[in-house]
Amino acid sequence: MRGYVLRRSLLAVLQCLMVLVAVFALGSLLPGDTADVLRGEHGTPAQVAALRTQLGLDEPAWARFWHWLGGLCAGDLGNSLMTGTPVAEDLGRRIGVTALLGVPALVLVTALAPLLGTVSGLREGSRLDRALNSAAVLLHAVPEFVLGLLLVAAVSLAAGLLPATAVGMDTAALLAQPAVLVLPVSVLTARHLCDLTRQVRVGVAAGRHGTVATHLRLLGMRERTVVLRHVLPGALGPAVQQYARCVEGMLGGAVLVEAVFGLRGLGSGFVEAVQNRDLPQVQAYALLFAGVTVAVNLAADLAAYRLAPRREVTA
Amino acid sequence: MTAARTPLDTPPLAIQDLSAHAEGTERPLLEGIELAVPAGSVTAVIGPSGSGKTTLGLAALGASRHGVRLTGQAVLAGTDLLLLEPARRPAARAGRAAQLPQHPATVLDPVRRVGGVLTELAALGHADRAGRKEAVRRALAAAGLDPDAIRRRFPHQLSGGQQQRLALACALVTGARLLVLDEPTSGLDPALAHALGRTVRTLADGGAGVLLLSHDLPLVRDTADRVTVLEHGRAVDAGPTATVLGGGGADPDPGARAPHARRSTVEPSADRHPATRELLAAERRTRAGQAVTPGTAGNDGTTSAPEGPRGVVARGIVVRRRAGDPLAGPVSMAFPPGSRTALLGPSGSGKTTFARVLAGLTTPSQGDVRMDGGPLPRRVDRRTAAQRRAVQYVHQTSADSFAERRPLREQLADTARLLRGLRAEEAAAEAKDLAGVLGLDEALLLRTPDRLSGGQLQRCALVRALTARPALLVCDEVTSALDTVSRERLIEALPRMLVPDRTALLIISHDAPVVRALAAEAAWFDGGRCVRRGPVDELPPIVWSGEPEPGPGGADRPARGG
Amino acid sequence: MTVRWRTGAAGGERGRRPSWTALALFGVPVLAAVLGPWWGPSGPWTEGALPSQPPGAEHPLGTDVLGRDMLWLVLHGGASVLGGVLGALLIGMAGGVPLGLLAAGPRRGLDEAVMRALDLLLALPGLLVLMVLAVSGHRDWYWLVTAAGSLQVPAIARVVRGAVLAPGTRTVVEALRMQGHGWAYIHLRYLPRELAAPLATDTGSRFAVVLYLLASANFLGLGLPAASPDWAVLIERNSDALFTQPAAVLVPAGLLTALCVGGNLLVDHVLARQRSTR
Repeated sequence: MRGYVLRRSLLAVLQCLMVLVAVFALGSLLPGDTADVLRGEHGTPAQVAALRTQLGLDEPAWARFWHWLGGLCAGDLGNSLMTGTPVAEDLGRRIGVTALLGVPALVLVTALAPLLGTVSGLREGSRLDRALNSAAVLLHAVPEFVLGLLLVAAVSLAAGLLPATAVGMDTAALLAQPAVLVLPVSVLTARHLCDLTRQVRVGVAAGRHGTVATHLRLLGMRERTVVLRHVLPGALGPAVQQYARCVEGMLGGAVLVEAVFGLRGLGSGFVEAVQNRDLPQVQAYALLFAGVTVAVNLAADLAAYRLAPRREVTA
Repeated sequence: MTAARTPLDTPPLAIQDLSAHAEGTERPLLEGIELAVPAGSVTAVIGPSGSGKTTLGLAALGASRHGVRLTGQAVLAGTDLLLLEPARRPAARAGRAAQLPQHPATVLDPVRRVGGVLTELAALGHADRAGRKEAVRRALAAAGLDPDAIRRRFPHQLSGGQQQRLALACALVTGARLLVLDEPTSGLDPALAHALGRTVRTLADGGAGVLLLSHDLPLVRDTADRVTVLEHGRAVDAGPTATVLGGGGADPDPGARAPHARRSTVEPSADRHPATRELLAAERRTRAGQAVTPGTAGNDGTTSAPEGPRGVVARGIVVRRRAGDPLAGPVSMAFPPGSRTALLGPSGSGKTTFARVLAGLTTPSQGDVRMDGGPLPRRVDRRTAAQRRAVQYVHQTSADSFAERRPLREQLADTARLLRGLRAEEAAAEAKDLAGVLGLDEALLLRTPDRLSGGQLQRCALVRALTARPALLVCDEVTSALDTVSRERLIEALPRMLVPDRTALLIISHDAPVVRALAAEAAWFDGGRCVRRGPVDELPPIVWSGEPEPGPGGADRPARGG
Repeated sequence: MTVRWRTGAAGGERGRRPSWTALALFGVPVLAAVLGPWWGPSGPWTEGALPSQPPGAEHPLGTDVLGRDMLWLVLHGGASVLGGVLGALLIGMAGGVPLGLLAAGPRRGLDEAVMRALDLLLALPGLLVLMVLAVSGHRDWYWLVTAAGSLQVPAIARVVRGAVLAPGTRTVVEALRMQGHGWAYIHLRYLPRELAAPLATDTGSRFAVVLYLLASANFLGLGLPAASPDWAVLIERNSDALFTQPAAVLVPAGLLTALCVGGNLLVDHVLARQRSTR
């Protein structure tokens, strides 16, 4: 166990390092830099050069990486090139909105997927099982923005039930009007809930007919004990890794959902930063998203190893 | 072991007029079976595969495969299981009956620690906490495991033998009075099989009733009190073990088995049912396989000379793996032309690894393989055609060693074409002739591999290797997928198919009769080393029985009634 | 109780019937993408067309926010969707198959090195990588497709390595080597035939992954220019006019959904058939 934990953690550290270097290198590989962007086509070369010195863009790459890394360690993510305000401030303002989207979605997936997966795995071919299976096939590949717009058209436009957008609303306004969040959270949840449910279902169905469960029944063990103590634990190992994929997928999903519904969260912040080529902001978002991904995968692999030690999983 | 719930005079299991029918088939799987398993005895059911042994074993517990309908009575400790709703049968079995299936390692829950599962199972027969704890300890001890060392482990952390004993402990911990064992020795090497047989006997002597389903006649002779012979789902013969099976029949070398195997010298009487006689005859034929070995085996001083210039010689082979050491070595061995060597030893002792090094399939970390004095490159893809010809290896899973979509004729002909430069037609004709000797006719070779049986493919793999006319032919468990008839034919034909004065034979096998029939020399592997070498005839019984120490008190058990 | 040895037959039977729904769902967008560009006038502009007009006699699907004919746009917008997905899959295979074969070769050190390096890459969610790459200013379609394809390399290499190292295949390769077959025969004749089935299955499921990535990136404006008729770009451009001209969003959205769901159903169907014949 300890050997695996060490090896897997080392991999995570390497991944983090790779992300840091890549994110920084990206900035220095830009064909034009922020000074060009800020000045636009009207700036004279002299003005651009002055701006460049002012922003510290004329230092050598390694020096800038060193400054940047030092700043990161001190919690300083730099200032936005567009607005001049600290990047951390911007992140702090937006994180609430994304949390209002992501936390309910995660709670729904975490609570419902094992339950629905177990029930449909125990009743193969039942109506619930068939419905979940069809939904999973339908939703598996449809991007969130397509699903979101189709839902808006059906629910808000045709049926007139729920608000279609939340443009310009901050955390407090959203909390005051939770109906706005129903559609975005549903869109973010649907696909991953189906995927995870399917994974649990496959594990439960296979385990239930497997040699281990069959033998325990032959020894006289009660069905309830067989399912809860043997079939379900066996199915959860692979499901935990699928769960990590879900969290990862929700990060990308949040970007799309926020864009569709006009929410000002981390996802739309990332998109704006990319469109403005605001390097410090992009770097901060990229580090945040990549860091969450690496951490979630590490946790999932360690949990899966603990749940199913025989399957040594490579990240 | 004995649960105090039912009066001791009730037999643990009584089966009456039991039949089983599969959905949509006419012929019953079982028909009118009558069988009782008294406490304190072992009742064996023998018969060829497909005779209904497994169905009977499940039916004894009131269970069946999907789509199989049971009728009659299966009375477990006074309760007829077949009268109960299927959903209520596990509760009726709990603490009364237990089962050990064919491949015990597959029924261990891979994601749970050993102790937790055993405690859960103990709860089926013991209500109080202290009783459960005691039951777990006793079951592990009875199965030959150290309770303290094993409780916190996962099944995958145990050796094959330990997993097997753990599965037995799972069956024992429920406190069942009836144990059903389904081919408990299949896939075990002789040492483990023998140890299991002794444990089973001890359990029965302690008061449990054991139903043993097996085709392993030596095991049945060693352990069972009564035998029932099953053929096409019917019990055609039954009686005390000694009466039905005799005492080991025509074992050519009685000393080769553990001493207590010589329990009786009674020959089976000629008036037994034909099915019984056929089972005994097949056993006798296989054991007598030695007789067909021609007297030309090259063991006249040419072997065991590691520096011998001719033939394939391996020197100082060491293979290291990061995890575990399947072959620690160093192993040196010479295979002069015409020699016949067998590698013996428990599973995991490095026999296959060593053989793969010879063929260039596993790269050794030290040592080299030479052919007629010249070195062979370590990896087969670095060897020239002539060098590849030198060592041909037939895989243990040789049925999987053919490309799926090409007719076998082409695949077999490739060897002689590529390695010996024959034209395609000549090569095909030669392969066809060799295949004919092994009983594979030409029409079969025009097919693709998916339309042949495992045993047929195993013989094809042998033909493919033989057409190279190798200096050393390595056969890794080549008889494992063969039925008795094909195996006899192979034992008879293989010596004739080797090129005289060129081809040496190296066989790896757990099957003592095969080794005796085909090999003159034997090397015994254990823990990755060759620990003993000598002519096959002079090997001590230890090699065959697998007993670590044939202790001084290895006398017969008390005679049992029948 | 009854011991069940086989799982229920419901899935197997469904898998054997040809799925016309799946074929239709998949076929309509594919036909539109392949045949569409040969249809109709040379451009989407007509004299005096107003923006975001609902469907009418002159414009069967109405107009978009710029006043272009929706029908023309939809018929010309599938080529970049389908072409991008296929291109990315080809790029992924061009990188993944050789790397997988390399890793499955006889040298264990090389295997470790290749697979560990790919593990590092596998760590990052695709859409975020595409977004970060977009900052570097390479914001055209080819760049996007190449990046999306490269992101598939680790997974494809893993599939190939797994297939080559599967117990059966490995035994056959060893037997072929002992028989005297060379590198070329094994790698160019035997293995490609063995790899065809697992790779085809993987490509089927990967189609959906790549489609998701590329459509999302185009929706976020990371690849194609805003004037492109690509379905994802059309959805983004017209989403503000969802209430006045729903057809401009719903038609391209429907086509994308049909492509995703139809492709997914077909893969599911093939997988179910494989399972039932095994």
